[in-house]
Amino acid sequence: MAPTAPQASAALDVDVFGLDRQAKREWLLHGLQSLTRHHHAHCAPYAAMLDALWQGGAADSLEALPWLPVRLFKQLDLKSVPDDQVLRTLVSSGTTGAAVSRIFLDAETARAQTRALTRIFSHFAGNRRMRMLVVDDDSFLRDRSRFNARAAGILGFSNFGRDHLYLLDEQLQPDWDALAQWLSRAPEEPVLLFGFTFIVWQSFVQAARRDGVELRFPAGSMLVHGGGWKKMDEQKVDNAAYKAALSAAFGIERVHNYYGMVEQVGSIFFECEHGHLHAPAYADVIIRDLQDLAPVENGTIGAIQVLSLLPGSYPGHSLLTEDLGVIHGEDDCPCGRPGKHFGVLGRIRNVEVRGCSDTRTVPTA
Amino acid sequence: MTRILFSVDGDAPLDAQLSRLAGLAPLPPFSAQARAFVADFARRVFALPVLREHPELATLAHWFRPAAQEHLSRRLQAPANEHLLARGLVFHLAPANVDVLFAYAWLMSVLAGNRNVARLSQKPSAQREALVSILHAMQAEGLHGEVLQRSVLLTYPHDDAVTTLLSRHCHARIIWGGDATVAKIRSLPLAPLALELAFPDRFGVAAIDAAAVAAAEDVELQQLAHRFINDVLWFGQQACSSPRTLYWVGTADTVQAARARFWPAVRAQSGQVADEPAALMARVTDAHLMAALAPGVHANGALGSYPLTLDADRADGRLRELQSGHGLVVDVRLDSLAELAPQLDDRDQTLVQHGFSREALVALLDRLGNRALDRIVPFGRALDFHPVWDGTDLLDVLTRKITLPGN
Repeated sequence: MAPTAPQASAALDVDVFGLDRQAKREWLLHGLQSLTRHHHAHCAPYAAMLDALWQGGAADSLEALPWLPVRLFKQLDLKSVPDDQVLRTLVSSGTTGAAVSRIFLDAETARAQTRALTRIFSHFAGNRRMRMLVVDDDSFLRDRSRFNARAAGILGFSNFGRDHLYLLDEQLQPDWDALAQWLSRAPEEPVLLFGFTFIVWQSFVQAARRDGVELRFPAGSMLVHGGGWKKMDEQKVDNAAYKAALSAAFGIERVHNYYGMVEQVGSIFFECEHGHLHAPAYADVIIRDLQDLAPVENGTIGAIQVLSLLPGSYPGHSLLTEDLGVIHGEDDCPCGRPGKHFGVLGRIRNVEVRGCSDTRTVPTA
Repeated sequence: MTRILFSVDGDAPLDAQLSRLAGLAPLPPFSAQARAFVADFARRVFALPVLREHPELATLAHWFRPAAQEHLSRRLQAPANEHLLARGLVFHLAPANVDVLFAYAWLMSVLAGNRNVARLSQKPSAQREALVSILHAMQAEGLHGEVLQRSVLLTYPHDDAVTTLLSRHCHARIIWGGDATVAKIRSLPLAPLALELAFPDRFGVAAIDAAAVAAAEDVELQQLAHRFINDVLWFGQQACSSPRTLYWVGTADTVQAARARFWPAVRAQSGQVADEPAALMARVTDAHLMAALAPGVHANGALGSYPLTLDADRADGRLRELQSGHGLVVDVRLDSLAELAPQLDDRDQTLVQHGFSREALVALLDRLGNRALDRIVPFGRALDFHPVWDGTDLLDVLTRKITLPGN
């Protein structure tokens, strides 16, 4: 008998940052094992891969769980639901001509992703909907053919705000007048800002310098940004310099990076007040050695493997990424949140570049 | 934008370069001037500072040392009723990844007496810069004028107009590149009288007599492993002759014993050819792709191994084309070498072998019945160049035969 489909919503039965090391390990391992069995039963290519390379997929620890290389989603259509149950297909925002990942969501998985993202976000930002400034353009709202990971990210986060203003035009140029007017309508009310890391840098921070714009955001305003650091690394701007620039340019003191990917939408890793990324209860990271892929000690740099309880409609619950990371510790971040806390250090050199904020840049005249 | 990497008149536009070349008579095959140039070129390659990181340059230089040139010239002994001349103007299109490979054909063409125009890859590489810098140094020293003025090296983005212009003026076009590149360039017209040689995507395979491995002395085993590493891992396993499959010939027991000796010996030495995290990611991705698409493939060890090996009941071109290189070898057992024939197809170029008699190898060739296999070499020789490449003697294309009145 085929195992029954695990309910993706069951992944959300625990407090988002409420499990300590032992409890989380057991909870995750149980859930991920059942996802492995579920996908083995419902996704033939996944079953073939587990049988050929992973002795069927049985594992007695998180570290022994089978993983898929994340690039595989560009080469194979992997799904564990019949075609007529696919609610939405997410594609990565790859550069023109490059292969893109295709991620198949059914209603259950899509709902679990939304709820998970809400839990994580409200843990950091509170439940109240803030006025929201999106540092991007809104053309994707009109043209659904461009619905990619970037658009999905903006839409996902836009649920957390109200009274939205999209700051940029299609050339990614800011409309400062519109912003000043929008801010003047509620000058004391904290604003939620959202954007992709490099677009925020280029079209907001640097554009303000270029245009001689001096704007102060209300106290308590908060920027959430993600999408990858590659282009920032090229400009030699690290997280500390990024935050300092946002404080200097706009008086924005709360800046949270997040780490996530289209292959595991919803279970993002959010940056705390101490600059560390945190794994929520329904997700985790393992860092693997760059020579033999064995799990490494905390403090050692390696390739990031991401685990998530959310993917029920496609076998993406355990993925080996091509990102470099380091685990700082577990249950011991000064911010007090239990679980692993870690940093992302960029991408393994010489592999195809992907990620949301790195795919579009301001056209140069 | 066409950029001239080397010409005695580097500032002239391409049209003027071609007119100038057309006004120069070819040199006789293996002229003293061409031999002196090639010998000096090889000597200077040996002195390059980048030689340590690029041992393939040393191999190139060794291949063109004076003694080897002499050997090469003996392939060109025309019978009494034939006379040999250079082909004329040869247009070389170098591959994107391995500029050095093109250098063999280019230097042979120089020896044959031709005028040469070579399009190198757009991507600058240490090898490319080194080869070009040697020509500039020679020119600055006022040496080898006869050869240098017959040589133009350039690069340009994929541009049909430029390729067509050069193709209209040449007497032979030599294309190194992937299948798509070859198809693209073949669609562009060539001068009516010109010949074309194309070197498209090909694969390498290896075959080994399990009994020979099982019985080998330890020292012999170490050497065999070392040679195999050189064959498989150099150039990121992406040369057309890099073996992707290793066929073990013998009974199940013998093969099991041989594998148990061979792979640890290979892995003990594989660190000699640097691995990269990106290569590791590529081969584990390929392994999963192959497992998903090809029934019968399975892991025989840890996915983090280098090289990564997968077992399979059989492995043909369809499996090899899923492999992108980067240190992944498929292991297959055969009862006899003859059983290899049905697993080879036109794309299989090189068979690297150990432990088989000439008769057994010829028997295999006679069973093929297709276009498979252009060379059979011992372990350690997969990446060597040979004047006969993909079944054609390059000198036959680089020269032409004039028949004389007989008696």
